Amino acid sequence: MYVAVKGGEKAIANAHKLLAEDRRGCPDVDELQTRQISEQLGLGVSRIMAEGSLYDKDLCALAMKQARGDMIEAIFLIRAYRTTLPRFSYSVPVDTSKMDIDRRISATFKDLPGGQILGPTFDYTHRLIDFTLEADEQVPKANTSEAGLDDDMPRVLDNLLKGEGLIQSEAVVEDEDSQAVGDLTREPLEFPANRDVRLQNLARGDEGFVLALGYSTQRGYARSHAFVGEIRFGKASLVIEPEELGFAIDIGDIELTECETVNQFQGSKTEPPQFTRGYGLAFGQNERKAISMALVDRALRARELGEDIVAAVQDEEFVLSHSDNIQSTGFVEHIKLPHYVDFQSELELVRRMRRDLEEKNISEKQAAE
Amino acid sequence: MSTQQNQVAGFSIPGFSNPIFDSTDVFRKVLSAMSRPGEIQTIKAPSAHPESLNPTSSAILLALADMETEVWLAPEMDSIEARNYLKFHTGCKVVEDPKDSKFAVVNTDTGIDVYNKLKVGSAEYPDRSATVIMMVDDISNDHDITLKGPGIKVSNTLKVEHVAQEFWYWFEENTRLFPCGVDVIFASAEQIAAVPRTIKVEHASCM
Amino acid sequence: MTQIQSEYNFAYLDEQTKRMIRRAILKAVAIPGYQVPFAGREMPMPYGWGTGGVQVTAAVLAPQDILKVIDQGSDDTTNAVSIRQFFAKTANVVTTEKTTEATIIQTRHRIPETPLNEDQILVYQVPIPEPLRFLEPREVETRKMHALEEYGLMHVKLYEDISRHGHIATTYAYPAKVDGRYVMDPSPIPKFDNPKMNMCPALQLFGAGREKRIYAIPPYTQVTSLDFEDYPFEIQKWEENCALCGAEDTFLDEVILDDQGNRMFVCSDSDYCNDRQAQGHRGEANREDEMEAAQ
Repeated sequence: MYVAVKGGEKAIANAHKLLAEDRRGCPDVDELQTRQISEQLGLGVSRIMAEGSLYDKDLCALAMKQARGDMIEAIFLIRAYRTTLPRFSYSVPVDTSKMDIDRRISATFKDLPGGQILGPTFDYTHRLIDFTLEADEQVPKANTSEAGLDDDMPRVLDNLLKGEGLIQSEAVVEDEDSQAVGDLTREPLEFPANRDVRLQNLARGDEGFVLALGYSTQRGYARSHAFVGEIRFGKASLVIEPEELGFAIDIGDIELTECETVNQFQGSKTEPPQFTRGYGLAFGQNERKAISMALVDRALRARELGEDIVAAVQDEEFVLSHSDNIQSTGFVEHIKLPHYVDFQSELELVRRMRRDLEEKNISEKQAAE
Repeated sequence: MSTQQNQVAGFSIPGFSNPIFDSTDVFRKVLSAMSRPGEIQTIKAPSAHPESLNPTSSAILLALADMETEVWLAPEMDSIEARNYLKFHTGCKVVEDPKDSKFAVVNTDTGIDVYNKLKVGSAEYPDRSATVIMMVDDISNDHDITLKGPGIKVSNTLKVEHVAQEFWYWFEENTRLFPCGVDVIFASAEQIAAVPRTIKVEHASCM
Repeated sequence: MTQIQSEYNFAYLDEQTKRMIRRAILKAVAIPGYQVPFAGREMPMPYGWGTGGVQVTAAVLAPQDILKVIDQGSDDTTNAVSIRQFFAKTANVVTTEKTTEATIIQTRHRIPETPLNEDQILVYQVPIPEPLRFLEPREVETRKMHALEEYGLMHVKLYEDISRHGHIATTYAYPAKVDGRYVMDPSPIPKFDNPKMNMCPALQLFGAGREKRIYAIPPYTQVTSLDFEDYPFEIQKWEENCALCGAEDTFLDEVILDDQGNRMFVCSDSDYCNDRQAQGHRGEANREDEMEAAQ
């Protein structure tokens, strides 16, 4: 006799046991410590923090371990965790011009006040596998300058370029404090979206998606040639001002990567020719994300600059609705869930349509004879 | 009462004894009331409440209001005690103008000008509208008005004590705005009933 | 595991989130068929796997509820099992496979065959809540179309089907109009189930987590599947009966028995089918077995 499939509960439990075993891998190999991940796979942890939208290196390292190195799975774990956390306070805006700089470069000027600070970068490394890393190599200590850096590192776009009026000035709302900043984790995304929400969406957006869209602008889909005005990476302090206290408290530092691009702009019906801007910001060290984000941000300002919307990257519904990798991966992968009821309906329809066609052919044939 | 006492009035009034389950229970009653217009639901009220609010309207606000909702209290319902109570237990903003509110707490004496100020939402977003919580003396299924519409199998009868005829005229206008409009919850000391914007009201006297 | 779970609230969601969802549900009930935007949260299961339904259920669920979860009509499909376990764990509620015992039924892709009653709430998991989405991808546009009650495009699409195929080629997620106003997507239930939504005694709630929309059909509300006077709406019919319980009027799943093209049809609603068998109803496959046993 036919018996319908049963035992889903047991099968799931067993599959998860197997998953745990596979995650651990060969028991002869030392178990990975989360501290090793946060210290030695820091850029991966940065990405999880940025797209998971939670600044916690240890937790993100743990998520990476639990996810077996699957970054999107790790980001998912962090997102699902953060969403249940109560909110104690909102920080005051982070002042990145007062960052404790580890790296700061500009592509638009050869030299500039504050200097070009290379910092820890893969740039100019030769991408040759370093076989010595197989062993427990002692790493020589890096040299540090005795001179130290300027405390106030001038910003290329605001302090150095703006004087001549060549660059788009960012509209600062008069009464900035009363203007609530959008938060798409608290309010559903609504179109048309303002720049604050667009930037939040891109900051949480999938690195690969944002990268590809940024790249598409460079290849000619809504091209607006971009220069990196400035990239900076370092630590910025996070300050809260609890209402009941009435004064500011520094609650700690967060590592940030910031990118501001300068883009060509021929002018439009409403705006004179000038340089325009794009902005990117990511938790931790992630220049690829920050630069891509700045390119996409610039492209999405088409409406405000009176540009024609001709490419996907300028289409905010397209970009903002598909940037989130937790949403995309869930929906893409959900097609592996059972769909046999829908499929049954389609099956019946296709059979019926074929039968109709056959009957029609037969009757036409008969009519012809 | 001295001014100082007045300032702290309301903070000491306890809220739900079990905020999680009591809120759920009150929400389910409101959901039933809203889903089945005119059907009367009995609410287990919190042990205490501000003098100017009745037990069920207090319970509804405790269950549904928070820092994301603006609440307006009609002058008779407004008091420092009520404001402090709501602020302490829900964190909601008590606003000065009914047009800014998501929940407006009124009673049967409240004038129609108030209702006319309430948010009704827009054609694209009809959900961005206010909900009225009207404190009333008594609700019964006696035949004063007949309700028809979604949620009602054939028709329901309802009698809300002391509701002015003008209110029902206003409500009739309100239903014409559909999908925009305001939804109303009647709240007596222990019971609630609701009439959402979809409901057609017929008066017994007219029939 | 137990230690981790205690760090979460009853039914997983924090109270603030529940209140936000509850307010959205109340608006949804007040505006039948209209999609209320809500700030959906990330859930500990993937988007597209029922996060909308789970959030709605979590916001509605009370300790005294009895929960049933089905996927494709069955209580024992993996995703149904997983969601049921989630609530059994985080809310410690009683679960059941019996449609008649349940106070809340969360479903993916089916409406139970057993008629629902007034004391029940049916929660649908919805992947794409916007019935106009495949005709117009832009939210700004579809929202305008709903506002203006401009559903001509939908009728054009259905009519194109008729002129091409001789009948409407939509078999699931078949659009319906709620209380004569909003056209809604009933989620990917087969159109076989559409008539069950009409004047249903139970409250029906729809949650789309990824798309962050909640909508509702209040009890006893008219739900009309879109059609044309000359091409009235009709549901799927099978030439076969259920091979297990012999039911003639249920939605049937096709089960492939071998690679020779042999197949049988059984009720997709496993609880309904089991119930009928318990009452002594027998389908073809079962009768043969009994005859074999008797011999």
